Amino acid sequence: MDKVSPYFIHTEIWIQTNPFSGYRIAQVRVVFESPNQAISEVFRSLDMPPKYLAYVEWFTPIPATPDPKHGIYRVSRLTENGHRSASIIQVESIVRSVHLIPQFGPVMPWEWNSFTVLELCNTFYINPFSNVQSYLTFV
Amino acid sequence: MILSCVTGQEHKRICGFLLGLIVDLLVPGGLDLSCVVKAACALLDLLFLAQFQCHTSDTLSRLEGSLAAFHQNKAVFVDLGIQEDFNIPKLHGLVHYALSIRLFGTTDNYNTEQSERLHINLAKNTYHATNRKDEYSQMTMWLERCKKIQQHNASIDWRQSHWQNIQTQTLIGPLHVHAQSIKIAQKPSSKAVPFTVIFWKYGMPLFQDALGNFIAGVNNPGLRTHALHLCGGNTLLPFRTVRIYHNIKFTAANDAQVSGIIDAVHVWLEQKDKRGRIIPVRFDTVLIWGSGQGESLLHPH
Repeated sequence: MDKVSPYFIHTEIWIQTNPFSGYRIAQVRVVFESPNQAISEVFRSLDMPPKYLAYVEWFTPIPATPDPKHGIYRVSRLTENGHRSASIIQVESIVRSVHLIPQFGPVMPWEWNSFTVLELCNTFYINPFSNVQSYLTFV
Repeated sequence: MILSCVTGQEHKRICGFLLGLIVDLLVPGGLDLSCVVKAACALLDLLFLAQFQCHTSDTLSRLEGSLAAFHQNKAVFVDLGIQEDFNIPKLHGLVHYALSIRLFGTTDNYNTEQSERLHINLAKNTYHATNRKDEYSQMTMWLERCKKIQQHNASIDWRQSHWQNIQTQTLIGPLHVHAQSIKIAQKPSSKAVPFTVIFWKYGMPLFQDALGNFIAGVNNPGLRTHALHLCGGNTLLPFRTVRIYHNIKFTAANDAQVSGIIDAVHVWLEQKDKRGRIIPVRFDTVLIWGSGQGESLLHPH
């Protein structure tokens, strides 16, 4: 991702497409690097084997259209056979941090707080307004 | 609640979480609440669009559109008895944003923080340059010298530009998110963490399976999920430990020195800092381009 070429899309297409098309949301659980000798042994076929990797737990794909009630996109934890669906990815494919707002519901459960809510809540809204840079990704 | 003396920073933070407070709001009387969220989102949209450092006719018409959307939905605040009317000067001011930007350029040089910033340059830095004795005359002298250096610099630049005769204007280019580069610390936070620790302490029973699948996927691009899982299960891992990092940092590409860190992802288990205070567990959420298998790292932004 050293040099990312600017991307031009015709304005009309820009408006019609989902701003999130091609993106997924995940929670990073561990960022790691394999031992150097092992990397070249494992990825024999590659000249530039991936260096930094991350174990992430996926959220559901971002819907094509936002919630019609208020126009905000919603995602949930993705599970597979009772486990959270997880993969290892290259750190380079991480675009930016994203702010998720828990779906509080009518009454917020008492055990939720800033440190536990990501674990305890299942459904989240994507907050485009966390800062101007992230807003630019979302328009 | 009445807010007074709110700083720009606090304003920005409020904008950052306001949506979370109202998105699932319940009000008595069975009123249609989606209007509250729509009106707030419209104003937030306007606020963020107005901060862009570069505009197109499209973003400007969006800016006007979001103001219109606010006016369409604002009646709910009167219905709820929060507001009697909307004769608010600041609200009226929003009408002029699009026109002002068309006439005079983007808003990124207009703010109220400039005087605060100058306080640092003209007072704080200046005071620090003194030896704290008879500081007033030292400060004025220091400022005068700074100004002279600045003017001399400008004069040198001007002379050199004449010699080279090179156009130094930089083009801003079309509106896009700044390309970012990823920065990771040179030294890992933990040097050799065995898979068993990742399994038990980090609570990731699927870690080795996922690693097998990832390696199989990279070595055999084009394998379907089922075949990939078979192949991944047979992948031998010639190591039992990994180096773990706690932060991923993003700098604006090209000028890491100037802009510094613009975004960061923090990932750690509960730990203690140097003074023995507990730092709570943290696993940030991120936006990922594609499926993360490195199919194409050229994402649209």
